[in-house]
Amino acid sequence: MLVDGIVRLSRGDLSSRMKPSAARDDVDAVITGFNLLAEELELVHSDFEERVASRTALLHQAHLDMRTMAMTDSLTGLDNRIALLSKLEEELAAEGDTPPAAVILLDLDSFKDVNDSFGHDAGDRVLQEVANRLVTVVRDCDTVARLGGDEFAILVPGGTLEIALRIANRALAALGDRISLEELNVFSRASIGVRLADPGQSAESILLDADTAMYAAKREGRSTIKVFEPLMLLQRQLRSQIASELRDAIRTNQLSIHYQPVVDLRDGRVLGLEALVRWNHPTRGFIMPDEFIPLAEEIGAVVELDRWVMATAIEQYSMWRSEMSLDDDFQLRLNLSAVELQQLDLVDYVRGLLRRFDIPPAALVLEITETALVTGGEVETYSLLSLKQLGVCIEIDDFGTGYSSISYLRKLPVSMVKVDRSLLSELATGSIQFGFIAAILQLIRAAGLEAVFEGIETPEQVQKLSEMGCIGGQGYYFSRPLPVEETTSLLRSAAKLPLGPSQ
Amino acid sequence: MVNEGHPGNVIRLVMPQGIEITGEIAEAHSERARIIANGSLRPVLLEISGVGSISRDARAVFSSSRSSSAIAVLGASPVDRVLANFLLGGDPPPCPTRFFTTESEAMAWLGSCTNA
Repeated sequence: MLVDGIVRLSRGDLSSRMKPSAARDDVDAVITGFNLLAEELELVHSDFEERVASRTALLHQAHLDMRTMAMTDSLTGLDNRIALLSKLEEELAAEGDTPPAAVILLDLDSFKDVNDSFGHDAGDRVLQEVANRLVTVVRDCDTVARLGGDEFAILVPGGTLEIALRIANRALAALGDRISLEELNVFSRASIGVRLADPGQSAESILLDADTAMYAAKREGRSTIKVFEPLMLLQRQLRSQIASELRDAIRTNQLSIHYQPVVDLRDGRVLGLEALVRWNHPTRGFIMPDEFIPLAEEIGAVVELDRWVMATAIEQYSMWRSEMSLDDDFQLRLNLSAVELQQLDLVDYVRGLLRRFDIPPAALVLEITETALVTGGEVETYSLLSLKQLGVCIEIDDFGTGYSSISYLRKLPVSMVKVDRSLLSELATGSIQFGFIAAILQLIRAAGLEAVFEGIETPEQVQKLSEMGCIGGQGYYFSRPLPVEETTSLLRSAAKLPLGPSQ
Repeated sequence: MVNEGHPGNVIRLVMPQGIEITGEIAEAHSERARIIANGSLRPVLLEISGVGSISRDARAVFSSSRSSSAIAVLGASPVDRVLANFLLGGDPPPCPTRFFTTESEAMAWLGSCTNA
C-alpha cells in the first residue's frame, strides 16, 4: 500500500493520500510524513498554478491595453490610422458578395489658423468637438477615425456611393455649425473626399484615393465633397511635380514679369503698369499664374515668389524712371497675397526696396484681394496701416467677387478699387446692365475711392465707362501683358493707346 | 479539555484523538487558553497523542499564540512525533517550543522555561 501511494504521487497525482493504521508505528509515521509532504506539494503546485494564471491574465490585459492604446487616438478617443486601416483590410478580406467598403476622408479647412490664433489647447478642443460631431452622423456599423492633425476618416462598410455621400453630407452639415468653446467661437468646416473601394484594391490605396479626392475638394473651394476620379490622381501627381519644379524656378530665374498698362479712359494715356508674373517652364512652356500661384500658396513658397516679383518689378521700374521721363502720376502696381500681408517684416521690406531704388512710395500701388483685406486679423491690419502710413497706395483687387459692402469700403485703409473683370463679362452676356455698373461706380466714389476697371475688351465698354466718368481701365482691348522689351518700347514711344473706333 | 491548577500554572490542552485537528478545533482551545491566562503569559502543555492529523490552519493558530510563555508538545507514538514536528515546523512561534514523549520531561522543561 505504501508503494502504491508513492507510485501515485510519482505519477503526479498530488491528491493521493494513505491512511495510517491504528498501530501508529514507524510505518504509520512514514505514511503520515508522506501525506504531509504530498499535501505540501499539492499546495505549492496549486499556488504556482494560480500565480501563473494570474500573471498570464495580467499579461493578456496589458497586451489588450497596449493594443487599444496603439489603435486609439489619445486626444479624441477615436480609432487611429492603424485601426482604420486594419478594419478596412478586414472589410476587404470579407468573403462572399458583400458590397464594397467606402472611405470618407475629411480635412478641416483653416484649422492651422485656430492653432495659430488661439493656441494648441484651443485647437485640441476644436478637434475633440469635431470628433464628437462626426460620431453623431455615422451609422452604428461605421467607424470614425482621426488620422492625425486635422484629418479625419469615416469607414463605411458594405456601403454604396449613395450611403457614403449621405454620411459625407451629414458630416458637412454637422461641421457647418459654429463651434463655441467658452470664450472661443470658431467655424471648423471640412473638405471631404469619398472613395468607394474597387474590387481587389488595397486599403492603403483606397485611403490615398480618398485623400486625393479630398485635395480636389479643397482646391475647388473648401467645404465641398468630391468623389474620387482617376483623373484626380494624375492631376495630383502633376501638381506635386510642378510644385517641386516651382521652387527651382524661383531660384533659377525661370520666372519673368509681364506688364499690362492701366490706361486713362479719357485720353488713352498710360497711367501705370500692373506687374504680372509668368513662368516659362523649360518643357511645359508658359504656365499661367492662376495655375502656379495657388500651388505656391500650398507649398508655402508664395512669400518667396511675391518678394521676387516685388524686387524685380521695382528694380525694372527704377530703370525705366532713370531712362525716360514718366508722368508724375505714373504708378507701378503689384499684387500682394494674403500670406504676404501676414508677414511682420513686409513693411520693412517694401520700405527697403523703395529706398534702394529711390522710388517715391506714392508711385507704388499694392493690389490686395478683398477676401484677404476683409478676413485679415491684427497682423494684416497692422501691415495695411503701416503701408498706408509709408505712403503706398492700397487697392482692393477683384472688387465685386467677395464681401463687397459699403461699410468695409469706408473702413479699410484703401485708396483705390479695381472692379473685377467678371462684371464686364456679365455685361457682355446681358445678365447685368450698365445701370448696375454705374451704381457700383457711384458706391466706390461715395466712399471717396478711385475705380479702375479690368477686363476691358471692346471699344463700346471704353465708351460707356468713359461716359460714366470712370478714369482708369485695363484689358486686352488696350494691351495684353507685355514682356519687358515691348513695355519699354511702349513707354518710350509715350504713345497713347487707342480708345475707340472714332479715335 | 483544559486542565487548570496544574503545578507551575501550566495550561494543559488535550487534542481529541482519532480525528483531524482543524483550525476551528485549534481556535476553540486557543481561545479558552487565552481566557485562563487572562492577559498573562502561561506555559502550555499541548497533548496530541492519537490525533488523526493536524491541518495547516490549526498549525497557524498554535504558532500565532500570544498567551503562551512556552509550549511543550506531548505525544507518544512515531506518528505523533511526525505530526508534532509538522506542528512546530510552521511559522516560528513567539515562544520556546519542544516535543516530548513523556509528560514528566515536558513538565520539567516547561518549569525550567518559566523559571528562566
